[in-house]
Amino acid sequence: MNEQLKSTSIERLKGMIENTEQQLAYLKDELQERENQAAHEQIEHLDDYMDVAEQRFGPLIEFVATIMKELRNTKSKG
Amino acid sequence: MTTGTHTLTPGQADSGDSAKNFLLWLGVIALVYLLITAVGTISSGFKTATGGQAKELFAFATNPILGLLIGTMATALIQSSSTVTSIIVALVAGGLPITIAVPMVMGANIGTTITNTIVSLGHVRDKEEFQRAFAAATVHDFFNLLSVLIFLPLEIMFGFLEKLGLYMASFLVGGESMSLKGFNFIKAAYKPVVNVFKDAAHILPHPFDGIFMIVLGIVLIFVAILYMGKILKKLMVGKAKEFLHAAIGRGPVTGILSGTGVTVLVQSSSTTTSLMVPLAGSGVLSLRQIYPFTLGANIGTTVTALLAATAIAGDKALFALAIALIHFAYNIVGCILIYGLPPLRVLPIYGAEWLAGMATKNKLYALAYVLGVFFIIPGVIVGISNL
Repeated sequence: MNEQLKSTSIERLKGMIENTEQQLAYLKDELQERENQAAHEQIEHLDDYMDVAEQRFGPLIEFVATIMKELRNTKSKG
Repeated sequence: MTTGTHTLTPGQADSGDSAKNFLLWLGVIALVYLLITAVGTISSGFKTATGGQAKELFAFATNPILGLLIGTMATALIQSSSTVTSIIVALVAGGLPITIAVPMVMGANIGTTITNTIVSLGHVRDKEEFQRAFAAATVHDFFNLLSVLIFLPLEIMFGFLEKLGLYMASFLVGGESMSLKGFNFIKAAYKPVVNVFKDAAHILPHPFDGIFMIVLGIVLIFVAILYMGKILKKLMVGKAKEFLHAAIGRGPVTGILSGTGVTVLVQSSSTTTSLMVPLAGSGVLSLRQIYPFTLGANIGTTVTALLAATAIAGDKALFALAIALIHFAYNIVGCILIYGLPPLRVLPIYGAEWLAGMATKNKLYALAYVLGVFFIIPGVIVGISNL
């Protein structure tokens, strides 16, 4: 690639950079649009998240249970 | 839609929904009335119990660090900063000095962050999802901790928030009568109910009559805010979606405004920040996108205390409104200073990413963080200071 570039004219190099920048901008726009779309889709599940937000200490209890299970597994392997 | 042998037309279903929504709104109005009645009950209970000498009662909390930790623990336990700040407003109306109340309000800001952190623990089954969710939750913690680190020493040295709150409140409270301009009718509305509580409490010996009213008021505030949140979530989920949709792909200011809007709608900052956790966990929103929403939640949650302050009339109205405005000003100034200055802005992000990395490697760190920051450290310090 480097050898090929050495023989490429300055004008051609400028054109390649411009083309790459355009491609990059297009890809960034596309990525942004898809990410936004995914966010909009997730926001439609807000009702479910509202229920999760009301769980108070439930996830903490579940988390402690997971840790205990992992510790027991580590001990039994050891 | 079919119900038994009857089939509902779309028009009938719509009118059914409208009737249901109307009843829910009536419920909200009733709960707002219950909230301001509860604030008035606490205020009246304090006057009854202490005979206007509440300052001595709070002598144990004159240390601002202690006030901060009490605010943190109380909020972490009941997971509602709106409830705690409304209670603080009532305590100020009952005679709690503002100087003691300011660190408590700051503590409420820290304590409320426990809810979304606990919600993030529910993502424990997937390592990457957990790391993203935990970071998104704790960015709120680090912001509020940083805010306290900056503003509490300044407040201790200069009392600038207290001065600012009193200055702003003086514009809204009448100079001579010390009652809220245009809000006096509120006291007239709840006073008969408070008098019923007072009469009922009189069967108890002094000072238990006042203590009964204080406890009753606290329970009523808790119930009012809890059920108001539940009903508003049902009524406002559509509007909340609109706010969030509008913020996607926009800048941080829109994020802050959206977070404020959603929090005002559901009357709970912990709900708003908890809603963000699954969005971060799934990777749909990045930590930097979540961050402004949490700042908006801090601002939006101050509305409940402002509402509670409208219940107070008389010589303590100025102070009750001042503490509610201090909470509002504290969050606005914190947002402008910390988020406005890039070197400070990145600190909560770095802190959250670092802690999430540690917690993902060893989940015991996450558990130690939640129990340590919100319960053990505050509990030990409060315990030692009372020895």
